[in-house]
Amino acid sequence: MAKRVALVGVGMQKFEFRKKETVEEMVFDVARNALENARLGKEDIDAVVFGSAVDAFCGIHNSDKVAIAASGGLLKPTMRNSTSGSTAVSTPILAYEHVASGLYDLVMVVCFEKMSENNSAQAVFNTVYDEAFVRPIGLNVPIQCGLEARAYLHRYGITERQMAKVSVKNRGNALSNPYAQLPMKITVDDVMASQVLSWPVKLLDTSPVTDGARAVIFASEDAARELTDDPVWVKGVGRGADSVWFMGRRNSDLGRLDYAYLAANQAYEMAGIRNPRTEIDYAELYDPFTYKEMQHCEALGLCPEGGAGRMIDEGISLKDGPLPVNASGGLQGEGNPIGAGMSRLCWCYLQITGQAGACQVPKEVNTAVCNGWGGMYQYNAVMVIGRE
Amino acid sequence: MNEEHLARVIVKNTRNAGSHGQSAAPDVASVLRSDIISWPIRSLSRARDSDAACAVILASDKKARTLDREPVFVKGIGWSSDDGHLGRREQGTARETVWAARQAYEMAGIRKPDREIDFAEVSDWYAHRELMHCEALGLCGPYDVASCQDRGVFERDGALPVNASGGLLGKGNSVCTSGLIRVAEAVQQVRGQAAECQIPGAEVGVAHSWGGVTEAAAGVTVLGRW
Amino acid sequence: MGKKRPEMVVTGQIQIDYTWAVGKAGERFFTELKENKKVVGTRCRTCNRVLVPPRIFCEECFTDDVDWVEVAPRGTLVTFGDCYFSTDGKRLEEPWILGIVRLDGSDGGLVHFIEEARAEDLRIGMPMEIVFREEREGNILDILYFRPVKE
Repeated sequence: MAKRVALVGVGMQKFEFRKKETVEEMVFDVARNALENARLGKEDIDAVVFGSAVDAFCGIHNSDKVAIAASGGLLKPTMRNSTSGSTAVSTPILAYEHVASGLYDLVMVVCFEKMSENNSAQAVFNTVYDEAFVRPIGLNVPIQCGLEARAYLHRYGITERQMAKVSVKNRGNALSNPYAQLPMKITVDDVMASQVLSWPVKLLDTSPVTDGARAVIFASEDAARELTDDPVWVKGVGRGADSVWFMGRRNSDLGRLDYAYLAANQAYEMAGIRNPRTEIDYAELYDPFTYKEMQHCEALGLCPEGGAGRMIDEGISLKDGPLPVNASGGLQGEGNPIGAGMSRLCWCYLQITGQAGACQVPKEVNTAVCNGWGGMYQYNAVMVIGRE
Repeated sequence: MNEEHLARVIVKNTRNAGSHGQSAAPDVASVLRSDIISWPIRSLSRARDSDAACAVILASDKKARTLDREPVFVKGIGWSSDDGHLGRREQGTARETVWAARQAYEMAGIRKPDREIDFAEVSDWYAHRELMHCEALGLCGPYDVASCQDRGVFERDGALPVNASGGLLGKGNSVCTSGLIRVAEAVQQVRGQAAECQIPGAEVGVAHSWGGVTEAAAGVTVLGRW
Repeated sequence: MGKKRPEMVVTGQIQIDYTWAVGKAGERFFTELKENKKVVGTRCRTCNRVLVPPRIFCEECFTDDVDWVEVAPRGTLVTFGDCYFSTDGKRLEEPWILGIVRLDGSDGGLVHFIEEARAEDLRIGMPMEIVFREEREGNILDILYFRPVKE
């Protein structure tokens, strides 16, 4: 059976567009920060797992090879994981499995993405589309969102103003986040007036392209108890992936993320959580676009299905609300370096351990959930962490 | 060691691949006459690119015992990455394979690989790499790899056959798939299902994968009947 | 959001041409499109679902026991998206529109251009039909676009 696994440290750094550091330098920075945070040395780490979603952004394939030495992983077992946007959480899940298997005591996970060195993020995303049915018709990221967001709003009666409130919340929350790229004090009207990319998605509904990395250290129970009296455990993990043929799925309605509900159910079952709305104290959800945070609130059971509009209207997910979501600012406010969206997990850990600084929510946080999403509307990975 | 040692790897593996191979087996002389790409690598020293897929199913010990098939057990695993920068690595030794093998052998309880391993499926993406990997995996024991080859140790009817399936030089290379194919070939050997490539009495084998164009990483698995 | 330039950079470009196989299913699909102006899908003989885009296997029954069936060149609009940028990033006055249409006689559909309609006139659930190109080459652009079915 799986052994118990704890998180014992995180490594943070600022997300920035056109970061001066190379991938190698970014990785060294967060790896060293994570070791410091956990009070460990590089010799203590048994294995390293890397996560990076799309090499075409930095234009150097197997970009993880420069991260081997930079993470302290030289000659150690290292591997790289990539599951599109859900890399952000599927990678720490992989690291968790290294320790849960009983084979390793201390495993570091480093996620990174350098997105700003190409001259067209869209051209990079085009390399993700299938060559025969999708690429020739010129699908692009704004229309991908338009297709999905329109279906979501239609299915549940969510409104553009409700989406806008998520942007206001997250960009505002990011003002307290020292690592954030794009904190902003804005209003719903500002969002509504921003440029329409593909209805209903507007510029202020999106998250910025950026460069950055994050690191987390997982520990076996024995190793964790040597480091802390108050371990934060991995309580549940889940993953779901749907067919790449999104236009021909059994459930063709992009408004409902069947694969996300599945992933969340797996994680909650493992964690013994029956009622997430009362048993989850805090969430960091994948919000590359405002409506995605809303879909994820529903799929992860933080509000009833179709109820994310009401949830934001009633202020439930505000920093001082009963179930805060993305007090860090999320991808909207902090930045979206795809794989390094593992920041969502990092912030859950910081909130539980009281290390969230100015982002710390007023309520007590014992159990938190985070997720990642990506692909052709395909992947979701969910992790629940918490105290005993 | 000289070029003839490299040529013999190519001859062995293309011959082992037999009718499943990419091409007819050359002899040493024709290998040594083939075009030089970058000495000592010749056009025939590099496995040809190929499309391939491979699937393997793993089961827990408990589950395996309920299934019809006689299981082949994963006795040990190990993997390791050397520095991503060419200039910072040692040349001429396969450090990443040494470290990966160390982990796998420790898990499998193997002390003397040259005695305890019956056969090996290793990456022969380039002819010289097969020899480096044999060394790094400890398959030569106290001898050097050239003298092992001279004595026919790695031939299909030798004491420790290497790439009886034909390896990548024999069948083609599809990068990461090639590594998993080594596992599949090893499983078939242990099961006695390797047909004309079968090594009599094969019970414990090692499967090895390697990536070393710019980066240098290796994976090693020990597979056995029990 | 100011773009600060790093002090030192190297520049480069990756330009690689590809010839992708369309696959066994793709070959039949695009051949029928080109030669017979027909849209076809694969029907799983176990669960009877008709897959479009067609596949040589049913992913739910996990079998390749499928046969080929014709599906209607019309269906229902599942969702659509408009875009005010051309593929090379220029802002457009009129958006171009893509939509997903579930094809009648199948359990799947296609994503393609929508024309002969403005975004504000489109409704999720409305009937749409395919307009074929006259000179076809055996690729997805043998379909020109979807348009709303005129009442």
